[in-house]
Amino acid sequence: MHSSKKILKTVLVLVICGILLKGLDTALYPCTFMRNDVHAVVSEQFDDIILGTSHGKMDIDPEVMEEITGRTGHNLCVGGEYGIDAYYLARLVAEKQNPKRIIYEVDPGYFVSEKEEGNNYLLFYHEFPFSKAKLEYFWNSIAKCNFRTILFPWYEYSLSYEVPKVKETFLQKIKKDYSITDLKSDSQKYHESGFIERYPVDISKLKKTDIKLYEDGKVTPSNMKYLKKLIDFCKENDIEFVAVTTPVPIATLKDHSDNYNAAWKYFGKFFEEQGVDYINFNTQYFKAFTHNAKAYTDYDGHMNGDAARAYSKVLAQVLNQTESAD
Amino acid sequence: MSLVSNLFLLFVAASVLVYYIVPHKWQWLVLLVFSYIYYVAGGPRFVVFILFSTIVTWLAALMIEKMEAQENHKTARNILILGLILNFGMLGAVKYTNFAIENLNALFHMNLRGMAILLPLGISFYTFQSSGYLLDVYWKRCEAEKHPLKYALFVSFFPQILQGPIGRYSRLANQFYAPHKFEGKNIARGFERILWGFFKKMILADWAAVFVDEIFANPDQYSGLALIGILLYTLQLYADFSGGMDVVIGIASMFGIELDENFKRPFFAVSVTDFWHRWHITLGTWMKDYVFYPVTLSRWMGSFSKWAKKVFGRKTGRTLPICLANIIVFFVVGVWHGAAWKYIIYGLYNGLIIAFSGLMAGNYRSWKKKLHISGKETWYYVFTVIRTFILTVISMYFDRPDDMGVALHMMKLSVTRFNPSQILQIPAGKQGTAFTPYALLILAVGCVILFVVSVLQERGMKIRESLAKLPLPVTVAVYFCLLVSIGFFGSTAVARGFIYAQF
Repeated sequence: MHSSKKILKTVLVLVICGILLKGLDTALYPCTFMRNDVHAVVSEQFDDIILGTSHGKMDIDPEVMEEITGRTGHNLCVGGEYGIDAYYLARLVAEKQNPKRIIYEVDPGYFVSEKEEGNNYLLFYHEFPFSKAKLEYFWNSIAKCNFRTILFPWYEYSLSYEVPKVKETFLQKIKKDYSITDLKSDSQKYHESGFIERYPVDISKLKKTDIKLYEDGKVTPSNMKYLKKLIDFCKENDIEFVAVTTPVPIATLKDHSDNYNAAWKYFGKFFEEQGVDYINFNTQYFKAFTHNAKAYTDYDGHMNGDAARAYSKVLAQVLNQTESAD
Repeated sequence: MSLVSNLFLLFVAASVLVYYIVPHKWQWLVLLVFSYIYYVAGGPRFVVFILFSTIVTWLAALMIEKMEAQENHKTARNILILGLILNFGMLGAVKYTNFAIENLNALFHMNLRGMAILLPLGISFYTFQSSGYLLDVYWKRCEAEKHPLKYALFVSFFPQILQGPIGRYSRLANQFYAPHKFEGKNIARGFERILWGFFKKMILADWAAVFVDEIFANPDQYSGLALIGILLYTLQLYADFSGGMDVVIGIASMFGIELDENFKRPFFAVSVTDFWHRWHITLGTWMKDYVFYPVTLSRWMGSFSKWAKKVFGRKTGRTLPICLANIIVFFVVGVWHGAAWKYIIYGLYNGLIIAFSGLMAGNYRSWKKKLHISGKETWYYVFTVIRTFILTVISMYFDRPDDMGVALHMMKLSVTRFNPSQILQIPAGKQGTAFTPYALLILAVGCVILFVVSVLQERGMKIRESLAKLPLPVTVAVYFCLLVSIGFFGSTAVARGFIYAQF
C-alpha cells in the first residue's frame, strides 16, 4: 500500500510536469511559417513539392508555376534545410499524400557545411505530426541534440520572447488557426503556397556578405548520403525527382567562379550518375533568366518578389520542356 | 554521445531500467554491457585502447599478486614496471607523439611528419585509474580482481569514463559488484544532482563560453576585455567541469553507486594548496598517492634531502625535497592536461607557487605573529580567499589561449587596457548583440545563485537534505523551476561539449 502510494505520487508528479511542459511549449514556441507549410502538405494533395534552401523559398512561387504546368504545388524550402531535413520532409509528405514530383533546389554551399545545433534546428521536427518519419527523424537527427530540444523546444527563442504575443500564440494553436496574416515583416511576406516574397531593395546599398561556398574535397558525406536517399526514395515511390539550382547574381558568380565551376561540375556529374534531371540556371540555362543584381535582394541570390514570379514562370516552362523531352 | 544529448539521457534511462529489472547478481554485468555500448558508440576503433589497458593491468595485477605470494618481490616489481610502461606508453603514444615530433622539428630543424592520431575517449582518465589499481595491488592496498569482466567494469564504467572522477578500486569494487535494490530516493537524488549540473553547464558555462571564445579569438579587437575574458573563462571552466561532475555523480547514484567528489567549492580556498584539495580532487589525490609520496620517499630524494640539509640547514633542507616533489607533481599534472607547453607551464606555475609557499611558510608565520594576526579573523580569511583566487585566475592565462604568445599578450592587455563596455559588441551567439545585455544579466544572476549555494554549503548546510524536508509539492516545484530555468535561460548559442571530455 505504502509502495503503491509512492508510485501514484511519482506518476502524478510526472503527469503534472508533462502537462506544464506541454503548456509552455504551446505558449512559447512561435507559430512559424513551417507550421503552416507542414499543415498544408499533410492535409492537402499537391502534385509538386518543392524542397531546398532559402533560395528555393524566395525564388520559387508554386502558384505562378501552376499557371504554366497545370500542377498544384507547395514550397517546403527554408533556410537551413539540409539533405536530412529534405529527406524526412519528403518521407512525411509521402506518408500523408501522393506527390507526383519533387523539385529539389540545390545550394552547393549546403553540401560542404554541417547542420549546426542551435537556432532553427527544430523548425521542421517540431511541426511534424506523429508519424514513422518523425520517429526516424528523431533517431537520426534530434537524438544527438541536447535534451532541451525535447523538453523545451522553445528554448531557441528564449531571448526573443514578446510577452504580448504569448497569449496570441497559445490561442492560435488551441484554435488550430493557420492564418498567415502575421507571417510578414518589413522585408518579406509569406504566401499560402509556401513561397516567401521578398520586397525589392535599393541595390546601390547592397553589401557583399560571406556566403556558404562550395569547395572541392570538402563535401560532407552525410549530406550526400541523404540526397542520394531522397533520390532513391522518389524512385522507389514513383515520384519524379528534379534538381534545380536557381540563378546566382553575376557579380557573385564572377567573384567565386572557381567555387561555382567546381560545384556545377560536381553536381552535374552526381545527378547524371543518379539518372535524374538537373536544371542549373547558372550553366546550361544561364540565359533563361537574368543574373542582374536588380532582380535580387542580396548578392547571395535571393530574388525580390517580382523577379521570383518571373523566374517561377521560366522554371515552369523549362520543367514542361524537360518533361516533354523525357 | 554528449552528456547533455537526448540520446545519452535515453541511454541512461534504459540502463537504469535494465539494471533494476535483472536479477541483482547480474547488475554489474548490465553496467559493463552498457559501458561498452557507450564506448563503442563514441568510436568503435577506440575500444582497442581500453581493452588493451584493461587486459594489461588485469593480468599484471594477478601476476604481481602471485609473485608477491611466492615472495618473489623482484619479479613482482618488474611486472609492475612493465604494466605501467605499457599502460602509460599507450597514453604517451596517442597523446604526445605529435607534440614530441613538433618539438623535435623545432629543436633540431628536422622535418618529421606528424601523425593523424585521434585521441581515444577518456584515455587519460582510464589510464590513470587502471595504473592506480596496479600500484594499489603492488602496495597491497587491495587484492587483485580475479574476474576479468568485473575488472573491465572498473575501467570502463560509462558515466565516469569521459571526464572522471578518477576512481579507486578499493572504493568502487564493492559498490560495483554488490546488489542494489531499487530505491526511489537514489533516483531522485541522482536527478537532482544531474539537474544542478545542467544548470551550471548550460546557463553559466555555455553563456560564458560565448564571450570567452570571442575575446580569445580576437584579443586585439576586444583589448579592453582581456581581464573580463579570463574571469569569464575561470567561471566557464569551473561551471563546465564541476557541472559535468554533477551529472556523472548523479547518474552513478541512480545505480546506487557513490563516486568520489571532484570539487569542493574551490574558490573558497585559502591557499593554492587548498585550492588543489578542492579542485579536480581525484586527480590531486591520485598525484599525491602515486607520484608525490613515491617521489618524496624515493632513495634519490633521500640523498637530495641530506645534501640540502648540509647546504641550506636543517629547516630548509627538510622543506626543499617536498618543494621539489610538488614541482614534479604539478609538472605531471600539466603534462596530463595535454600535449602543449601551455599546460606544462600551467602545471609548473601551480607547482612553483606551492613550493614557494612551502619555503616561505616559516616567514609567513612570523609575519603574522608580528602583525598580531591569529588567522581566525574574517578579514584575513577574505584576504586569503581573494589572494588565492587571483593566483588561480593568473594560472588560467596559461590554460585557455592557444599558445604562450597569446597568453602573454592577454596578460599584458589585462593590466594595460580595461574597457568593459566592449562586451556589448559581442553577439550573444546567433541572437546578435541586441541580446547581449540579457545574456550578461543571466550570467550575473546565475553567478549569484551559484555563490549563495556555495556559501551555504561552505557553512555546512546540506541544501538537498533541507529541500527534501519540505512538503513534496514544494520540493517538486523547486526542482521543476530549476529544470525550466535551463530552458528559459540556457545558452542559445551553438551547443558545446564538455571541456574535460577532450582529455
